[in-house]
Amino acid sequence: MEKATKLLFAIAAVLLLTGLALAFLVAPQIVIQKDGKDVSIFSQKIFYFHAPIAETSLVAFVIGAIFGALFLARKERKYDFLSFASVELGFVFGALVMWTGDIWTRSEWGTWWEWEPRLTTYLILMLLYSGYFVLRSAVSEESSKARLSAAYSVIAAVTVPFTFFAIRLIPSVHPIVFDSSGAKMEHSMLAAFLVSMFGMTVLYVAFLLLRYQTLLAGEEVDYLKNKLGG
Amino acid sequence: MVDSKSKTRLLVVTIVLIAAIGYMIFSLMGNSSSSSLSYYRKIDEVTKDSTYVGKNVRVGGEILKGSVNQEGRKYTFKIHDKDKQLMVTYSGQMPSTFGGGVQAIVEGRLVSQNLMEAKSITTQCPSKYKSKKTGGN
Repeated sequence: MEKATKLLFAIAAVLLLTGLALAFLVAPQIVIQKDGKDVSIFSQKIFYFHAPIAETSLVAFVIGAIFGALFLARKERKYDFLSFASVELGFVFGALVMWTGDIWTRSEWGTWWEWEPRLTTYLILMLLYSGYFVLRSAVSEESSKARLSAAYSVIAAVTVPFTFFAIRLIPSVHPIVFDSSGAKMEHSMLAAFLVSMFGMTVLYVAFLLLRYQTLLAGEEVDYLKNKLGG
Repeated sequence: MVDSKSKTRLLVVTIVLIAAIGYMIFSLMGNSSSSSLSYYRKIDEVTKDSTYVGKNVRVGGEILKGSVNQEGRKYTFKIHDKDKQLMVTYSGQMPSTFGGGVQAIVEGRLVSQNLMEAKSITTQCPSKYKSKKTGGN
């Protein structure tokens, strides 16, 4: 592992642990009015991880599309690797979002799954991206694999704004915590969220670099194997 | 470029994906009224229109404070949207945030224009995070 990658992993670990501490020890429990009484909701704590993971997954898909577009424009191998690595990570973070969201909806909405705009559009996004991996595994010739998956990564990214705006345009049960008026929470909550969010993003960048390096190393191994004749 | 086995697999996956996504978009849109895009209906939409009686609908509103009656696992309560009200009966597991003053979406069969037999209840979590009562909104 390169030094820079190691450093990024260390920074991510510090930020995420700080975020964890802030979320559970500093940020107060939220309170709702139920039958005229204040009831605190502990399950909201998962927000400090669910939302950062969600935003990181969307960022990863967008960056995957950007590298995909760069590959189509410049035809350089590194862009294919970076695009693939980013989409892969987007998918991993996406799976985590669906899992954390699932626990949360069970607890707060009283259901495991709800066919509402955010959940439905996000599932569509994940299904589309699952097609990306099927496509990649189906094409054996390297240059067309890279070209096709780059084009696919750009097209599939259309679902990112789609899922982002779904709950902002269609009335839904999914809360909109951030809107044009700002963040609807107290400062200590926002601090916990931002630290966690930043940590998650750094973690993504660290994994992206690590995956990129392994893809490069894999290519070198293939090259050396061929040179040796098998 | 693509061998025939992979081609078949790619084709099958594509068809399944398109069908699944198409169905989801259709069900998301199909539930909305023609005038506005929404995945649930407002109370006055269903109470003023008798064509909804006997049908399955999803209605959103605030659970009326003091209207909740519980007998074992059977609940009756009202949801309201300003002065429009709808009576709801439900039996089963309640979400932990269920209670008067909470926003909820109920789904089930409309028995009459003012009564619904709910099959599922979804409580809405707040999008405004407050740690204590600050009075008003």
